[in-house]
Amino acid sequence: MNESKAGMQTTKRRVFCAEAHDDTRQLLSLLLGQSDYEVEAAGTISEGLSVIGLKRFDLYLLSSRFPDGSGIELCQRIRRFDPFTPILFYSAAAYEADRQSAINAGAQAYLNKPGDISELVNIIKQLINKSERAVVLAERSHGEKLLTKSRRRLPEPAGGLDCRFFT
Amino acid sequence: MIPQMMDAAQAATYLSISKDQLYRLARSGALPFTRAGRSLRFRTEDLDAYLSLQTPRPNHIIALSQALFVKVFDAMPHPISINTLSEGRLLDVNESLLRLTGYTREELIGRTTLEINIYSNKEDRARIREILLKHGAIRDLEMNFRIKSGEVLTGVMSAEVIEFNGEQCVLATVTDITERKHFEQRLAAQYAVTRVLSQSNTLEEATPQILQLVGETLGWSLGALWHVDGAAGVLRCVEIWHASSVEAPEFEQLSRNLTFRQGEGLPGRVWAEAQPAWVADVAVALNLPRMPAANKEGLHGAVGFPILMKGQVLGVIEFFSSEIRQPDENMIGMMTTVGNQIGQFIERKRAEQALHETNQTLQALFQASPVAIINLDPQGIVKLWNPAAERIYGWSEQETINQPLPTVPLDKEEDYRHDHESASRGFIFNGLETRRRRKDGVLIDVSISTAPLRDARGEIKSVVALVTDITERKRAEEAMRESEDRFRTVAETASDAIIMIDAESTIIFINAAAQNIFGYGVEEMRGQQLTMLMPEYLRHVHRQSLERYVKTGEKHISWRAVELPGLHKSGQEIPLELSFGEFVREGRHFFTGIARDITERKQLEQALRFRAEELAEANRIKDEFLATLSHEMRTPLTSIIGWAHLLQAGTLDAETSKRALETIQRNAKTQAQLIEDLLDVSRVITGKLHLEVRPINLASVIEAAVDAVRPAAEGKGVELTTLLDHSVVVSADADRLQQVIWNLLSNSIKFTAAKGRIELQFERVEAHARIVVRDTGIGISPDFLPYVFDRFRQADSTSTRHYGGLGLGLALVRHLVEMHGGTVHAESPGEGMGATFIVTIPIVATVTTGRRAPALRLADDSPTGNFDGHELKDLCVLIVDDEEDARDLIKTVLVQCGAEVRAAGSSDEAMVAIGRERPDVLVCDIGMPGEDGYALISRVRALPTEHGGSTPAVALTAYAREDDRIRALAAGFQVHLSKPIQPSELVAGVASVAGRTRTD
Repeated sequence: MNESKAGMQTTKRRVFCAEAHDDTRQLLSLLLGQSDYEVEAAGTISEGLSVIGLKRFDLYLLSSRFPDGSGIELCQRIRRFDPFTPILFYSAAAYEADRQSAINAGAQAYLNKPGDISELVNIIKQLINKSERAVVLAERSHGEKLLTKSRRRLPEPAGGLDCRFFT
Repeated sequence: MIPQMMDAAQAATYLSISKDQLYRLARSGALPFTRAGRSLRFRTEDLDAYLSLQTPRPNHIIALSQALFVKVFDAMPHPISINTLSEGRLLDVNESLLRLTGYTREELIGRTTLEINIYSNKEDRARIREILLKHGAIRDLEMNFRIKSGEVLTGVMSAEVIEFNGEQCVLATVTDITERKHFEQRLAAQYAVTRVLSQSNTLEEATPQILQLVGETLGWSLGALWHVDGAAGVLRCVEIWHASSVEAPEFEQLSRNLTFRQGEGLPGRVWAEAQPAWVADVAVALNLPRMPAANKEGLHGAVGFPILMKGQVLGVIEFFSSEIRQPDENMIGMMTTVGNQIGQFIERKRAEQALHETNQTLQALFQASPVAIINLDPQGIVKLWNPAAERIYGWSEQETINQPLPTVPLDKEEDYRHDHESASRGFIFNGLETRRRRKDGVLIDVSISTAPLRDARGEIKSVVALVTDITERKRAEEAMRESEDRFRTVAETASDAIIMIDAESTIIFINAAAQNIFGYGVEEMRGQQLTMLMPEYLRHVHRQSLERYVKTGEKHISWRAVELPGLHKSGQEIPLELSFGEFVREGRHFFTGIARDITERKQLEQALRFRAEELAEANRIKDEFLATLSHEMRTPLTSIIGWAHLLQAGTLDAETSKRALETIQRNAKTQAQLIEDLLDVSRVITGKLHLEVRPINLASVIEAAVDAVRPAAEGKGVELTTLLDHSVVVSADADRLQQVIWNLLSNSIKFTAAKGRIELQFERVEAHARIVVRDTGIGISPDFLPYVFDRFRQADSTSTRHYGGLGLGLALVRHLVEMHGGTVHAESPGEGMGATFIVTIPIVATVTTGRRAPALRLADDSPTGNFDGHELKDLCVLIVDDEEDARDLIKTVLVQCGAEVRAAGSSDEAMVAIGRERPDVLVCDIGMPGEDGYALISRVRALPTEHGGSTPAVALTAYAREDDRIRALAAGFQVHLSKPIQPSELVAGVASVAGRTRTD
């Protein structure tokens, strides 16, 4: 436990980025990398699922349209095994209905493209902080009960899970 | 000869004319007279006359006389007796007397009349003696006397006092008149009965008198009338009479209390046998219930006889006597007669009663009848006129009786005379409808029935007419007919089916419109069950709900505007809109239904629904397109802004900065292309896209497009190969065809994964250029194939899958190809199996704008173009157009290209020019006043080839639809160009039909 905690403190926050548009994907990778995030990017849903199945992330950054499906679908699939990690949509689908369906699918926030790139970075940061605080607060007020319950519901992917909650 | 029987007058006559004979007979010793029966009588004066002859006789005669006397005395038919006047002791009697009384001579001689008890009335002896003493003789004294048997006879006695042996004696002779007496009594009784019956109104009134009269007259002591009680099957005593000298209370009481069945007692026997019965002495008759009482109260002789009517016994009358009475045929006959008389009386009374009742009935009928009853004699004179006739006609009985009929209007007089004559001859009218006039002058409709009245000989004496006033009925009928006419007119002019059924669902009326709706003839439907017009599955429900409604009034469905299917004769269902009505007549329910065929409405509704769905679909597509557009605009913008942001931050190294700039440029181009595509689509939609048609080498155009997309293909790892025919020149818009090829290739690259292949093949197939693009990409599902070229369509274009782009590329391809007069279509064995796109365009493009041109003009933005003056060199072209400006413009263009041009303003001018000039090519407007272009080309094509019948022709028209093109080609034109037209198109068209190809 202590070992993991110490490990987490020195490890960069990890962001998963799903974006079909090549130029934008490269842009986001570069941008988040500059902001000191570790970025894993995918251009299709199937590619993305194979990545997030292997690693834990501190935030999922999703766009709306992929050749093999929609961002909403991807969001729903993530939420099936990970109810807590913040999901942020950065999407060219700019209708309110698009935003609403993303929130309904379990996303925490929705940003329209193109928007302000620096705003995107800020929101990512806030979401990650908020998420971490929430976990700590939950642990303090409800004790082991909530945590145990929550953790019991989560599948145990390979590595990374423990350290997140105790950072 | 001496008659056996004679009455007194005959005997006297006989004696007066045969005195000599009497002597002769006496001398011969023969008996001059024999007494035969009691009816032989002599008048005493004849005997006296005879005897007086003897008085002056000489002695020798006296002896003879004595012997003769003895003979005569005994031979006298009259009973004669000689007795003493003092005691009445009998001295001698003759044979006749013995025979009459039944005594022997010995029983009488020497005894007195009182001893013998000869007088029925004992006082008679004293009375007779007194008269004899006083007058010395008695003449014709009627008296009753008793004979040996006890029977009392009636006789008429004459006597005179004579000296016999010195003593005063009485010579008496008696004539037995019992028979006559009885006859008279019977006559009297019968007469009395007749009188009583004739004076009586009822049998009850008559019977006591009859019993009394018959009883008293015929010497009966007691009489009883028995009535047949048909219901009880017995005889019942209803009347008893008894003579004042007789008392038989027990017998009477018994009679009143007893009833007799047929065959019981005397009355029962009479009833059973229906004929009289005689009992000489009931005291010795057995088997008579009242025998003991009769015995006790001294009743002996009895007779009973039936009261008969037509052979039926209505009652029995019986009489009893204190005496023993031997059966008397005459009396029985008389009684029979009385019985019959009473029977006839009853019958007559009954008949009278019946007649009376009939008369009463007829009278009541006559008075109360609501039908006028009028009796007319053969002359037409009114004999009867009842109250109803008064009511109907207004004329009273007093006014009409014995007058001619006053009710016949003038115009009916001839008919009436004829009809009355027929009726008087026995013709029977039954409900003859005619018109009559009332007293107040109002004409009324009447129905007349007649019957002749005949007399006993069967001759017609008068005619009875029964008259009913049918004015109201006629009016009602008229009103009904009118109403019926109205209804029929409405029903038969209605376009909806109008059906009427009864509670059993039988069609009782159906109009003509129903034929059109259901396919059956009216006669096929009328009388049938309504269910024949409904589908099988509705029939049971219909029957049930109808039945329930009639019973309970509960409706199964609404009666206003219900939609239900009907059944056509063909078996097809027809959508119907129904409304129902009901009426009740005389307790019977009838239902009306109006059925409207709403097939068309349903189809319209269906079409509307379909259209609405289409619209909704179009709307959805539009929304999706806008979402996609937004998405596709934002996507490159994000890269542009994002990379620009990074550049601006100045944190990028040189290489990354270069990549950033390239990226920005690429995305900006993408966005520019997007906008270009949008504008193109917009131009297509608004008809503002124009082609720059020129002869082009298509292969080089294709190569340019391939070069443009090759980097993208290579970048994706897709192999792109081409197979091109470089010799084919087509007249087309090079830029647009390049756009077509570019779009097709981009589409294939987009949907083909790495290591896939794309082949492009171009070749000439007959008069067409054919371009085939084949890829190994994701393919197209059969469902989507028809929509591949629709605007804004992308398979699965919802947010589920996305390949980028607006879905406009293929739509543009189709538009551009079609503008070139060509076609494009897609083929795919299915998803994941790759796709093939095939474009075909004519070598010489028949250019259409896809819209009808507003007017003839050369496109404004394309002046006469760049022609080198050789394109149509030495060609003779004839222009036919009714508009001069148009002719000039076309002429200018063609002349620029080196053509020799002739112009004609009409079809006729053109024919002349063709004959004279023999042009190489005809350029002809279609829409001309008078004979149009189609007609002209038909006339040209009808010419022999040597006269110009095969001259190539170009149609130039504002009619730009495909149909118009086909029609022009069919009419005989080689090429169809639609206005507005660009000079290059015109030149290419003319060159094409003239067999010229560009050589540059």
